[in-house]
Amino acid sequence: MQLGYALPYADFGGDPVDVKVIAQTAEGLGFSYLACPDHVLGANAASRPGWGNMNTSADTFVDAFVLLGYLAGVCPNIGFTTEVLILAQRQAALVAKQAASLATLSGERFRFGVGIGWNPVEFQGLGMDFSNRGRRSEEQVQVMQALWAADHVTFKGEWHEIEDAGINPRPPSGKVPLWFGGHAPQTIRRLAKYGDGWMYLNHPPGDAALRDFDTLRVAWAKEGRSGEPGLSVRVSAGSGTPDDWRRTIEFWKANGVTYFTLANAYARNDFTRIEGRTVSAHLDAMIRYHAAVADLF
Amino acid sequence: MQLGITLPTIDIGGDPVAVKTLAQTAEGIGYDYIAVADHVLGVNAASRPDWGARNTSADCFHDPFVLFGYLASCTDRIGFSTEVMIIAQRQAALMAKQAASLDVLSGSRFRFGVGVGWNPVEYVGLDMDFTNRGRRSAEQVEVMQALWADEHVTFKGQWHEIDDAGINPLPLQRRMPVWFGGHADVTLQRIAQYGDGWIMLSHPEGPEAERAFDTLRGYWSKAGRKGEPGLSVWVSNAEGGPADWRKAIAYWKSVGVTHVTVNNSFGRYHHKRIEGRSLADHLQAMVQYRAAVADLL
Repeated sequence: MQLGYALPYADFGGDPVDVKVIAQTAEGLGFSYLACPDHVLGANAASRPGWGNMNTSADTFVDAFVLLGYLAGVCPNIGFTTEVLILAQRQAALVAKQAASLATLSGERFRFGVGIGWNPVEFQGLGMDFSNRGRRSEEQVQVMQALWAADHVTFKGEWHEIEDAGINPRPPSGKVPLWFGGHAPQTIRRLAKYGDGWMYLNHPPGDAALRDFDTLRVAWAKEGRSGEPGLSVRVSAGSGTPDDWRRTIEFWKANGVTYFTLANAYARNDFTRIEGRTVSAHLDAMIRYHAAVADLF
Repeated sequence: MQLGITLPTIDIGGDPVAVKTLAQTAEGIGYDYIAVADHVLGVNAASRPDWGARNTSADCFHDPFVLFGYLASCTDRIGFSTEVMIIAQRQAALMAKQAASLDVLSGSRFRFGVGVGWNPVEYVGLDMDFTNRGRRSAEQVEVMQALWADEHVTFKGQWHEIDDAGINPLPLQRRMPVWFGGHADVTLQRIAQYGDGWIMLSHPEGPEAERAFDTLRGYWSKAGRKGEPGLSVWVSNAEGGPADWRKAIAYWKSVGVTHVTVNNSFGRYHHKRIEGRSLADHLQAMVQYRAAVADLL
């Protein structure tokens, strides 16, 4: 089991000293990984009245590959993950390249979480088709895994073509652990076929979650995969007491969850964020949460 | 005049300790910037008997954004330059995002060198049109400069559309330095219109180079630009000995060159590479070159 920490820079911007302090403190306390979300573009909410509480241009998202490259240079031990990178709005071969560079430079500390996003404004700005993003992402995964595994790839799919070419450097082990976000039936099928784990990030503990996990395990077995899929959930210090935090972890642990991301700046779905938005507030919540649950890991 | 050094990953590979050692040594002995080239994909030369001396899948190129992110955290002062990034095979909005993230994390140490490349295999693999890469690259620069300058951008061009959205973080330098490689006449016109400098690789020391600089200066003043365009050239330890290096530096300085990159792993056109390919060979060459010319810079 691993306890990770979601970088909350949407609260205080991308200042490198702040980000470094947060990351190095997490590493020093014993967190196992740092998680980084992804949006390339944000919409101007002022011109979109009904936009609701979805992310906008007011939210800072430092590019995950650049940021995790940066942190790999100053954090010698901690792991890195994207939760999640919106794969289908980027080019598969370039994502494979950047993930491979990050894997190489970090000594294979990168676990790659991918999703398909929800914001057509981003896809338009990046020149990618929003309507086929799910199906296309499956082919993207095939392309990336081929490029990670072999020096030379020849591929002809519905959306991708590679003519006997490859990336260099490749990840030393020939693969990058690939986790999927989302919970559509197609996502579960893709995850069982291509993935290593599920970033089950938006749901509270309870029976619905256990049914979802069972669905995945059935799909996993049907694909002939051995072992168990990895399972990752979000937790937060934004509500409840230390005892509640421990009970939540114990519930998930009893049901096979292996990765826990402390996400203190996440306030959608069933999650409550911490009140403070400063670096100090985040450090304080990180330290309190870790102290309360560390012995369970 | 600034003196930079190209990271010879083609020779030494992408090992994180090796690239960090080179970067930290370069910074320590007074180099002003680190340069890297860019290829996302390399071809399998075995299936292409006439490929010649051009880059192949055997040559290691880290993704520049990930690599510079990594090196930004391992260094304090040294600058970073792409020489050049093949922009027309990437998405403009994503490059704007990654360049801005690098600018923020590095404290504005990034100078963005752009080019259009020569390898259709990469364009196929990245699903971009090779035939219009020059014209499209000009619109890409417009898109990127708009995204760096303003929180919200509305853009409708021939190849790009952004619907009232933007990147966050914005770069600290709201007008990021953009330098162009290439030597077509239209490239010089694009520099005068959008750019800050020229990475000039096509001419050795002599009257042709001076005429080309004059052509650029003509376009520059015709475009109403103030001051002078930046001018960058490549040199190498393999071109004679210390006395020759000093002559080269003095010459380039006398004709207005502002940035000289020591590239010891490039042997095409009139450029020469050093014989050695080890980390020690490159470290030694880098130390010797700067020691020989430092008082002239």
